[in-house]
Amino acid sequence: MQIDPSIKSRPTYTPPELVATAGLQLFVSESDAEHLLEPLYRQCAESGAQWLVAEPGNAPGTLADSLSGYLQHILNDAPVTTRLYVAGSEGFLWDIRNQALSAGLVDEQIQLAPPISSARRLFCTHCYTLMEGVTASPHTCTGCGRLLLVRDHFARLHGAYVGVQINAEDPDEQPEQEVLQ
Amino acid sequence: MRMSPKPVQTFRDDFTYSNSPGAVARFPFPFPEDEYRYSVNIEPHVTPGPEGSVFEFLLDIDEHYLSEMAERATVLEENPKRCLAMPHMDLACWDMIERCMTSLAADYPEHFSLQVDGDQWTWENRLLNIKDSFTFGDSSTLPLPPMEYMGRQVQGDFALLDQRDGDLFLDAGIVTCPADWSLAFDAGMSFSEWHGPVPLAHEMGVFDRALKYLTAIPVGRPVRRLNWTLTVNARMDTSPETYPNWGTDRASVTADNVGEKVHLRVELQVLDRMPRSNALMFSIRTFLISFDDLVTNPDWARRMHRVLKTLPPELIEYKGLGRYHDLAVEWLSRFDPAN
Amino acid sequence: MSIDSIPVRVMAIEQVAPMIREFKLEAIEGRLPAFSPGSHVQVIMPGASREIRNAYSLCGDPATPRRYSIAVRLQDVSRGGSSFMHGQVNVGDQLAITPPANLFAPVMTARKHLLIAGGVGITPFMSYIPELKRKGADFELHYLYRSSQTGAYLDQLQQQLGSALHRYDSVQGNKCDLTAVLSGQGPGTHVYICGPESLIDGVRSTAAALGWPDSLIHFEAFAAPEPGEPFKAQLTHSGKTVDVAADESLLEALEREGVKVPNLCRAGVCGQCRTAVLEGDVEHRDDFLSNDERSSGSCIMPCVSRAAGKHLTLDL
Repeated sequence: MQIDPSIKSRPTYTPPELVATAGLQLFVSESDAEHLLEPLYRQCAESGAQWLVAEPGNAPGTLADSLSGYLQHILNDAPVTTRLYVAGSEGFLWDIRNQALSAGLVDEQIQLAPPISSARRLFCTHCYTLMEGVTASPHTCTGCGRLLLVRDHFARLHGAYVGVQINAEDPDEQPEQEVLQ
Repeated sequence: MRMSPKPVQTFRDDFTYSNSPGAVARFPFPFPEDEYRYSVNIEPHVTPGPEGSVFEFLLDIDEHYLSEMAERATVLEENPKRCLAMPHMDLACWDMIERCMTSLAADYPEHFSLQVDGDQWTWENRLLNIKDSFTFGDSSTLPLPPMEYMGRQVQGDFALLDQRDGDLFLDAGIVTCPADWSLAFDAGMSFSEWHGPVPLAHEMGVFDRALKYLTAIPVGRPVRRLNWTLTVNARMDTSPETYPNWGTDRASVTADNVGEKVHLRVELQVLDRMPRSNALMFSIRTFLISFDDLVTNPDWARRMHRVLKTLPPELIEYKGLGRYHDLAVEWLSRFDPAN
Repeated sequence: MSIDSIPVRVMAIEQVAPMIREFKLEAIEGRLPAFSPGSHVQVIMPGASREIRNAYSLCGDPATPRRYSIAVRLQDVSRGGSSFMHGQVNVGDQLAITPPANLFAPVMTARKHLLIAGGVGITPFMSYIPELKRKGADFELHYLYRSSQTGAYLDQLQQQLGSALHRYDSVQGNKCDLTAVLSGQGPGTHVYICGPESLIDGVRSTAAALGWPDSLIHFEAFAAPEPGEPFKAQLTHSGKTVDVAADESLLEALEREGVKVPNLCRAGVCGQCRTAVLEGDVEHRDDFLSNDERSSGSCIMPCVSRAAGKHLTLDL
């Protein structure tokens, strides 16, 4: 089975650009992605820009309570003209984006930097388990143990790619592992 | 109503499912040409349609009603998350209740009735021995959440599409007989996102034009289209969730059992604008026919052969037909001597 | 797509402002469909020489759907639709309308709704307000009008909204400070504008300058198509030549000649009627095409746009 590189639901990313008219410039990143946002932050640090940093490697689908709490606190009082810039692993980007959306922000005011690695969050379509840091396909599900083809079909609300059993039609099949791009 | 529901047959395990001659005759054969290619094949769903046909009413109820409702109940028992509705879709779910109840009561009065007294409604479904009184719009007065309540009483999967920013979002649904897609994964996606995996069609602009057409549908002017694939055995639940259970079916087809095992699976998709929420109700009514039954119509046999023979490799792969495509084409060739 | 009509009877008429007349309509057979806030219908009017169709917002409460209310402003310079409605329609008359369609629905996931109405642009908000109140939504209405001409429904609105209503009567010299209105709002505040082009442009540019994301600003233009110069349209497929009079739109002229063109809003915003132009310069009056598409001159929105000169060749 081939991994389809041309799938249209896979998000594409561009390096963030500073929006000068923002009422609040808000930066959120994992600590190993700071360099992606630093140049922008320096341009507006004088005018009350805010920056939250998280340690990488949180449990899938959740943010560290402290980061999520701080972020919520800021968003509750943020102006409608806020601009949010996010950098980190792909799952982290979408977790922050989803939290911002529930606080009322719209996608137009959120910029997601290109993910710092090609590691993916994976959603097992059989048992609905989410797994972090997946770098090769197929991948064994940590919930149900099935060997999953990691597809390029991506769900923004989960921040994850879908995995489907790769050898469901012939359980004896032993597909080779491929590194994910 | 033309087709009375018959006793429950199964869509799994022993597969007792069968089509009566009447069901075969009214089967929605989807191919207008010998070659199949993607197109925006949407047309107005004008009702009443031809008498006795699957297009006669907004929603079709046929002889398989009791079987499909039993199958739905089984799937939801195994996995309740096959039905979900985001909180902002509550009004759309009530719109769906209104559309389904008013049309079923009007079109199949021998089986369903609806009494409306302001917002006090009483609904009776004599096929499932249901009689409930409730306050329209108040979900606390229904025995189940509105989407699930109605979905357990109508054949076919349903998705409710929220219309925002000129786009459509899959924000609610009950999906127990999909052709290989997962509501749990796709929930919240936009129109082009949930169609992401479909090959070829994006480049052709099919989805851009379809989206423009669909967002312009007004109340009272539903549209329909037909979608198709093949399924091995009369299995309704061909979801990604249960793929570990049915994946091996595809490897079980032999030259001798094609007629009995390989089924043409057709979806009659109806899109209807719902008045209060402005959402679209997307009904996905699934029909299954074995190749043995299909070829009792010589025109269908011939055309099915030609469609499969000329199907592009991307579609063979996408529809999951790879393991038995050649066997099916070979088996059908005897009905098409010219080719 | 083109859609067919529902016959209705005019049950009541009320002058709700010096230049605005409200009509209450009921179905002649059966019941009118329920509708969502922000919906409009097209009224099909028998004109002197041909049919006129104008779109009007449904301005009643969606919870009482069986009677539709529409409010029509008498245009100073009109192609005939509003003067027909004001001068020739009486209680008991029959009209034909299209089923409701909605290009201006409130975003129900918004945290706050900021409604800005100019003149007869108050009409779609009259269907929003009962729904927003029922949901306990946070909203405010800024209503700009000229009491010598418009300013319908003020008493009703004052009673229902209290301090959430901000009124600006230009006759009294009250001006709306858009910068003040658009400042200090929180995330999830959506802005809805309905009224003349000048108001819409003013709000959009003020919002952009303050840093508002475009996708939070929603608008419905409310100008009836303005008259223009007559011209000829040549149709390459049928070989026909269609004469477009000064007081009819290109779309209306095509329909008169039996040429069907998909359409919905008939006001240049929805994109349904886009038609390819093979020859001739276009005077674009729509809100749908991009700047590039306009300058390429390769297509036209016939419901509002016209030939810049005397002639167009269309791919029809």
